[in-house]
Amino acid sequence: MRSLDEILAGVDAGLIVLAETSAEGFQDLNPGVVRRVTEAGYNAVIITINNPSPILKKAYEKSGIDTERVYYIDAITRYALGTLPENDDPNTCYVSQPGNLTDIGIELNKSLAALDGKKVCVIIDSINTMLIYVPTETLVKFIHFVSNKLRLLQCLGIYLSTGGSIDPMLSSQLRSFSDVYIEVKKEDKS
Amino acid sequence: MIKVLMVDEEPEILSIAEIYLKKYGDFEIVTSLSAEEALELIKENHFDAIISDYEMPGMDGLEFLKIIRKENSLIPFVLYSGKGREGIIIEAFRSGADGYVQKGNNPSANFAELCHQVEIAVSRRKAEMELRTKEYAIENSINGLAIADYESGKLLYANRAALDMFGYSGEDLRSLSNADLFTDDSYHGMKKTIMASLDEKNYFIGRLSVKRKDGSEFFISASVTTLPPDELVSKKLIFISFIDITDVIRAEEEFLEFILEAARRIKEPVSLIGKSLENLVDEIMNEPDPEILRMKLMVLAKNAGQVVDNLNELNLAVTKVHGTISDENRNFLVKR
Repeated sequence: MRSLDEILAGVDAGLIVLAETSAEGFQDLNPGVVRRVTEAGYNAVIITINNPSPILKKAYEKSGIDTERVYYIDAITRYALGTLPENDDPNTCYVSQPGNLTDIGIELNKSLAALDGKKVCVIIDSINTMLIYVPTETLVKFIHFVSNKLRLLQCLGIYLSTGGSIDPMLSSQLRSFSDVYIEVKKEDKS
Repeated sequence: MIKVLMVDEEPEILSIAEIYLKKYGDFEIVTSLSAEEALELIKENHFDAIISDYEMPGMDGLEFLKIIRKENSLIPFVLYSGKGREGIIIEAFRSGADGYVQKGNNPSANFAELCHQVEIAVSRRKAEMELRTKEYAIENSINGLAIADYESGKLLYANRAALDMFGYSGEDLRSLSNADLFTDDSYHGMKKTIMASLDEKNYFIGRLSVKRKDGSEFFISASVTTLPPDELVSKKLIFISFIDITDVIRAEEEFLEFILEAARRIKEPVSLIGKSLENLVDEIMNEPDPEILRMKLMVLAKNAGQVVDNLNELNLAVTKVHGTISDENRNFLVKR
């Protein structure tokens, strides 16, 4: 199985990666992936449902990530916290709630258009959290839509999930949408 | 005991016949002096057989027979006549007579023959009726029933339900074999499984994926047994009984999908929330940023609330389906 670094080193455009980690290390998976992606010269567009973007920003800063290259489609802050951060960040757009896939799709289109011509990696954090807010059938359609979009625009896509918590039927469907499946082990995350 | 209606214009013959028939067989005899009277008796009584003279004033024996058969009665009918003309005998059998005995000069031999013919006719009709009853049950069974040749797999018989399920007509049967009833992918695997079970246990019981004449796939629950050759059938046969369980399979698939969805949207998220809370406990031990802690806890609270909503959504679906849950219980199951 290829590691994330190997994939980033020799990546073909339009590659979709399904990245799984253990439940214990799930919270740390996102910063580890974003750091490697940005270091590989990508602009990262994070569709976050798992953590509000302010938390991610602090975690990225702590990890020494170039946050100028990170863009956020934040679908949890407004819904979970009720208010938005006071300082207006041009790299962040907010969606009303995690189940609003239409708005997430619209914001993704806008972000990809704004980053046209640049190396872009779209990260969905996470499949597991999305499943709390949308039925499986809807999620599968959305992932299918995003995957096709990214392939068309020659972007890299990385979908984060917790290993073992997705049933074999859905897992198999998600893998069929992906070009590469990787397991990110704890020691790989730093 | 065989209950016989004997019809003859001559009372003496009736009296003698009653004596002899009772002597030679286990008979109860009811007598009648004319066909007209006999028809009235038949309306009100059950008889196992009729013995009738041919030549009678008014309605003769042949006319009497024709009326009996016209009324759709298959009661064994033996013509007992002094006239031995070939034309009458042929006409009698064409009209549905089961036997013919000519009156002669030796009453003992004569009635012995009559007794024998009545017994044979009653026995034959009884066997026919039993066979017809079995055929009726098999042909009208809502279970699909079929018989195939063990060696070639060629179908030899299929009842109406079987033909209807597979969309074939009786005409199609002649050119059908087992292979035509399975999808190309499944045939060899299933044949191997079924034949292995038949060889080992002499039966197979299981679910099979099969196809209709139009190619569409459906599922049956089938029991298959072998029928050994006997004195009438020289080949080993396979007897198949089955019912369409496509609805059951679909319901099972829906149920599986339901419990998988419950696991995806309830069990695993709760597990994830639990794990996140454990991580937060670790963070608290390492002087956390209170603002980050607050945001994380609020996200987890929302996630937990959504899981309850997901459970309500699934409960609502279940309670709607079953329709046996009281409003009070349903309200409890779906409350936030």
